[in-house]
Amino acid sequence: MKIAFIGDSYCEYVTDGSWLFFVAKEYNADIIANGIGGRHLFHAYEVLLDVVDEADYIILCISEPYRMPNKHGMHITPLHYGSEDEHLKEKLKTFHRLYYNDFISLKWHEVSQKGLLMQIDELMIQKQKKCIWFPCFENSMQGFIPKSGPIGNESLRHLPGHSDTRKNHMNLRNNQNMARLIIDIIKKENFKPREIDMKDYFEGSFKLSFLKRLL
Amino acid sequence: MKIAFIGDSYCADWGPDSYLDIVLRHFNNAELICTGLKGMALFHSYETLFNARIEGLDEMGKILDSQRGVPVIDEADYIVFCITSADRLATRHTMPCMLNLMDYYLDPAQDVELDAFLEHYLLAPYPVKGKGKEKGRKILQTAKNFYEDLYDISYFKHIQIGLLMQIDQLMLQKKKKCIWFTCVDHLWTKKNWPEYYPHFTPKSGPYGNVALCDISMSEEHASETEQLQITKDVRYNHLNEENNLRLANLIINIIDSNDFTPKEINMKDHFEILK
Repeated sequence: MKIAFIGDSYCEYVTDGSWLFFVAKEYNADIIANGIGGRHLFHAYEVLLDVVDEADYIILCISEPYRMPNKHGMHITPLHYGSEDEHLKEKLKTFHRLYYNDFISLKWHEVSQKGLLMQIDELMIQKQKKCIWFPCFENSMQGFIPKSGPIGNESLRHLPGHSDTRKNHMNLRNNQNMARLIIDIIKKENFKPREIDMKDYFEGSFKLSFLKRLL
Repeated sequence: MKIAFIGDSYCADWGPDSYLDIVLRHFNNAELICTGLKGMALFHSYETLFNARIEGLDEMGKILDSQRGVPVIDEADYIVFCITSADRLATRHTMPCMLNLMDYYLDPAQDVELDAFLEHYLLAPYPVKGKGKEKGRKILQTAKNFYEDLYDISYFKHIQIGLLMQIDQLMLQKKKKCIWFTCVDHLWTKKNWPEYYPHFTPKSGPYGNVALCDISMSEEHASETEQLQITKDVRYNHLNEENNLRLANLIINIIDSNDFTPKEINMKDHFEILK
């Protein structure tokens, strides 16, 4: 079995103690892709295009829309940016300040995000892939509800106990809960597009489901 | 009858020989409710679909709710799309933005034109000078730096297709009668780029199978206007008189026949220059 975890830092860590590790261990599966922290959804989509034919299961963790994709594949978010290249880093410093202060069209980023989600969904349907969707942030989905697989009804950022730099931004308990959720879906082979009630797997208080807020 | 032209400079000019005017005249002075935005990204054209014509302001100059017009998307009986190239960047300033344009305006030799540009797009207050001008110049420089250091053509093509999918879906939802033309990129034409556009062909209306730019650049003396994207083209909608008339007739025929089936329009049947 081959599993691709596509997304950002919420599915970046694959070492022992991470939910990716627990899922792979359960099925003795190969992890053929994992998240790239701080990157725009488009860069995750590029990873997906490389592995889509090979993957038996695809877990999608959708980042927020205001990051800036770029030809270097660097992470550029409203708060951070990074580059190994010193010359580029200096240029990026000026660009980052001007872009996010004076230039950005938030709406353009949001519409572009929705367009990418539509293409990913269409790709999953066309390739008849078994996939599960998780929004990482409240604004990740931009009102789009996928037709290709089930989707978590709460953003991963709002999981109870979230707040830190731990593996995939979750404590061990939540990494285990997340793994249990995915293991259950794979075991039941139920990839019907539907809302996954995250409360069934995560203890603690949630804000109102983002799907409910959409309706 | 109300017609909206949504797109870029290929549907931005009106005047006696512009295909927009010819179409309007044919339909007994049909109402033109939207025209193209020169040099701007498709996203800004998309935004115009949701703009409403404002018919009244209160004493403070604010829009009266009771006087808010109907958005273009709801008001238009017919919508003609001229889809611009994918490389344009959308900004909060709703200004034209592409690399050659930024190069042009940041060239010290174009200082007067830079002032006009900054003032027109509210990037600097009148009279354009001092700190206001420097700030405006910095905004343009940000765009130039973006294109030089970060621009990823693959991303821009993917988001263009994502936006087209959303526009197409909107047309179907609203049951709009629309016609699609591509201006520069070979989107759904035979020269399609399959690596970037694997899925998209409009499902909401007929679509021209040759980019309007190919017609424009085939015209006699077109090479003289190689920089046509930078405002130096004197033709209406980058087409000569004959081709404005031909494009008008093509649109008129579709509206007259009321056939908005999503199918390829063979542009060679309508433009002698392509034969």
